[in-house]
Amino acid sequence: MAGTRNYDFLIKLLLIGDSGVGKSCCLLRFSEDSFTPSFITTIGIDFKIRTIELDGKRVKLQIWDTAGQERFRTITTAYYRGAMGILLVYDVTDERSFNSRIQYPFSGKQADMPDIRTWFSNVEQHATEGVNKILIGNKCDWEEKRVVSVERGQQLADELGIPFMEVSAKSNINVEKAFYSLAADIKKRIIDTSKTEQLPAQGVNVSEQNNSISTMGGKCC
Amino acid sequence: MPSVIDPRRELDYAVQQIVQAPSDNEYFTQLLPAIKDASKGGQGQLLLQFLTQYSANREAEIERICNTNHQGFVSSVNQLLHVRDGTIGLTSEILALNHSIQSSTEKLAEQKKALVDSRGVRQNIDEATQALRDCLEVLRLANQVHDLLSKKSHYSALRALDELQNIHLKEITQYKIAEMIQKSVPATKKLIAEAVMTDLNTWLFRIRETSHFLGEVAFYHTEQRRTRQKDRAEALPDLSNFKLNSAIELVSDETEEFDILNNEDVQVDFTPLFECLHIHNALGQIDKFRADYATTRKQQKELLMPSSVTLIDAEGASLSELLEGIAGFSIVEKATMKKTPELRSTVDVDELWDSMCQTAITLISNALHEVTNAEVLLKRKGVIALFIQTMESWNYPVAALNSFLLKLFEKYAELLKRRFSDDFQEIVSTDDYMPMPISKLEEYDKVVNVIWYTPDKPREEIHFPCVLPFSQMYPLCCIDIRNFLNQFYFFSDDHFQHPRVIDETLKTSLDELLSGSVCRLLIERLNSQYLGQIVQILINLEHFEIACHELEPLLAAARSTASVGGSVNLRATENFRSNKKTAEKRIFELVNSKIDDLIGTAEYDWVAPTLEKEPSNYMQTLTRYLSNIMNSVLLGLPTEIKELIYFDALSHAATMILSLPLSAEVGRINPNGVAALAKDVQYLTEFVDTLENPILRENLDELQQTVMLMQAENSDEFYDIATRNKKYGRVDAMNGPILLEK
Repeated sequence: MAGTRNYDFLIKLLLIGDSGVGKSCCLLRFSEDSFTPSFITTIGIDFKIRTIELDGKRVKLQIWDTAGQERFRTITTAYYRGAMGILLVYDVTDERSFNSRIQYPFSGKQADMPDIRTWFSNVEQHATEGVNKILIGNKCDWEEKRVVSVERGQQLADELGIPFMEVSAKSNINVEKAFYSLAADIKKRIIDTSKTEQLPAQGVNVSEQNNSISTMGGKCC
Repeated sequence: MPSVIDPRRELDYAVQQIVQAPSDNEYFTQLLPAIKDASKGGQGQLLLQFLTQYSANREAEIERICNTNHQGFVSSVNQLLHVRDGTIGLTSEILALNHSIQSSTEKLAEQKKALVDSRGVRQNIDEATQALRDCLEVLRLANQVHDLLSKKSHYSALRALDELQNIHLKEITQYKIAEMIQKSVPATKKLIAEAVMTDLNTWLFRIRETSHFLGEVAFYHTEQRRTRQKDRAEALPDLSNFKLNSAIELVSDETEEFDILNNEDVQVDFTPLFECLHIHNALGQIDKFRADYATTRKQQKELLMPSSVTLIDAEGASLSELLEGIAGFSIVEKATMKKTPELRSTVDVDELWDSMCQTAITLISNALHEVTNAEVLLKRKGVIALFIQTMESWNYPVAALNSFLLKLFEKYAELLKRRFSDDFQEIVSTDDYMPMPISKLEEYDKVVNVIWYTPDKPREEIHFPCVLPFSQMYPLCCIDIRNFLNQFYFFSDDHFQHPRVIDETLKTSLDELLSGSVCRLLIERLNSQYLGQIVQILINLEHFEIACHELEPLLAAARSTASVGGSVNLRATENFRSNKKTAEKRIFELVNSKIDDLIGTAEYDWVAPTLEKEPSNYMQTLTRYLSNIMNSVLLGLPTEIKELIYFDALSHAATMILSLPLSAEVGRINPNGVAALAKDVQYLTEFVDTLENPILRENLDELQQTVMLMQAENSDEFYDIATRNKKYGRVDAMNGPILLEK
């Protein structure tokens, strides 16, 4: 009997986006409900765990926070495969983090400055097919500095065919909602669909489902 | 008897005698006795006859003569008559003359009397004139006194008054005016005294007005001396040991003649004072004058002292004004004492000086709280030092002021500490906790020059851009530390007699700053959830420790020559060193918690129906994560710390993995379950092997041996001591049986 676990499902999430858009802050807000104003660069990779409850099930979220900086790209790209859900984060006060092509059409540095489309194509290239994604516009509290409108965010999300949400890690707006909604989508996609196929006993069933998920992740790695 | 003889004859004779009597008197004298005789003898008839006969004879003779000379007689009678007429005229004429003479003499006498009278008046007039003249002279002198007074020739006036009183007045003592003048002398003297006092007061007022300027000039002069001393010290380094006002400095500076009281900028003329003193001396009021003067100066001193000063005005004018005022006042005092020793006593002068110093100290102390800027305080200290040096050169005791500088220094140290503490706080809180990127050689040089750091490579071999191990807070703090040191010693510039206090305070303050601010702030930051930040803190701590080691000899060398040598030990050095351990522990803690998190996602099915072909997902994640952090976030750590962390992490991971099958919730384990665990352990072992560090392998021994035991066909081997020691030496004696049981 596998009774050691304190959760029913394990879901692995991944945060990607430009350096400085606030990925770590979103994660800190979600995992510890705190905020630090100082700029801390993530070096390489980091992760946090938070167990949430979805439809009466304990869902353990293992959320990987990647460094936005180009120099850690080899390390971070390796985490795409294991991810079941990916949060593409941009900064509503920084056009470049959203759409560098419009802002700097002739810049030779375009390759060094990925925007959401670049990140999205990276996901397409390295992540498991069908992985859940969500577009997140952070720092929505900072209205006076906003350069990317809600409409443009929504428009891009629609174009990419993924959900969209504006959040603020600082003011604790929508952070919880974003993670919950992504987790719920994943649960729906993977666990609930496999559940309908077979209906064994609860305990075994859970472990089997989890195993199937984990196996899937393992295969991706 | 005639009668007897012849009576006739006798008569005849008597008549003869009578008629021939030469004078009437004799006539009568002859006649009377004759008559008498004749009456007696009854011869009267006879005598008468004789006389008639004699007359008839005479007549007859006359007629006979006259008959012949009648003519001549008549003419003679005529002539006689004529003469007689003349004589009568003459007599009346004489009488008239006499009368006229008599009357003229009377007039003369009258005139003579008038003459005598007028002579008397004249003498009176003369005498009166003389008296008036004398008095006028005295009055003139008396007026002259006033004239002199109005011409401000006070002493001459006094002299004139004396002369008047002692010489001239004596000459006219009989007059009332003398008395009046005599009475007016004291009043006049008082007038003179008042006049000189007025003069003196004017002088004193002017002195008071020039006091500030005098102080300013004196300060400037001291500054000039400082400059000259500095120049001399540069030319001849031996001289640098001698401070301002030292004998050597005074002698060296002798060539520079400068009279503070008489130069092109300021002139103080003591003449009115001398005059006043002289006059009071002459008046015999020297004691009173001394007392008055002392009182006046005391009042002036009171006026000089403001009720408060401020230390934070832009130019420091408030303090300068106070100190210049005191300096000017005191210089005048000393000069007065020197020039007129009988007027000012040392006690008086020193008393005023002490009182002014105390007041100034109190005023400055009261204003000290408003100073929040160390530079401002330093500037104010400079003014006070200038004041001290200036006054010292006038032989005023400055010990109280020197001690006060200590208080100022305390405040300065406190301000500096506060400011740098704030600075450090700012630096620590705004740091990015990332290794510092350097893009150019110039930038590299700039950074390396301010920090205490020994690069691994010579600068020529460095390729840019590069990164330095510490984050930018380190160079920023180094700059601050250097500034802090410099600014501390700025206080001893020019004049400060407590160099040891600076040394000691500096050491203590720096220590407190490093330990209390830098180190403490970094340690507080260890609460961070970010491994990268903590790793950077550890690296920074290491560099701060190096910096402390370098600072110690630097501090010892910077100590003033006057203070005792010896090495300097900073508590902060040990503080940084020991807190590296704290940071290390925090890294262990964080890495281990991550390992816990990941092992927490292990999903072993201990009674799996099938054999698992792949290593578990959690194990793959774990090894990948460890490998990633070793190659990124932990990469910058010093090798020995890195190895410690790896060691600790792996041993923790092994313990945690081993605890999985041991868990009370695991009831039974079948071979498939054991195989899955064995596969994962194998995977972990392979990963550790790639790290190429044999010591790390030892961490896994217990785990490996335990898994081997679980896989063993013959579990009895465990209970055979010999085999057990050989094959399962690291397996826990309690855990083995539990697992075998399962």
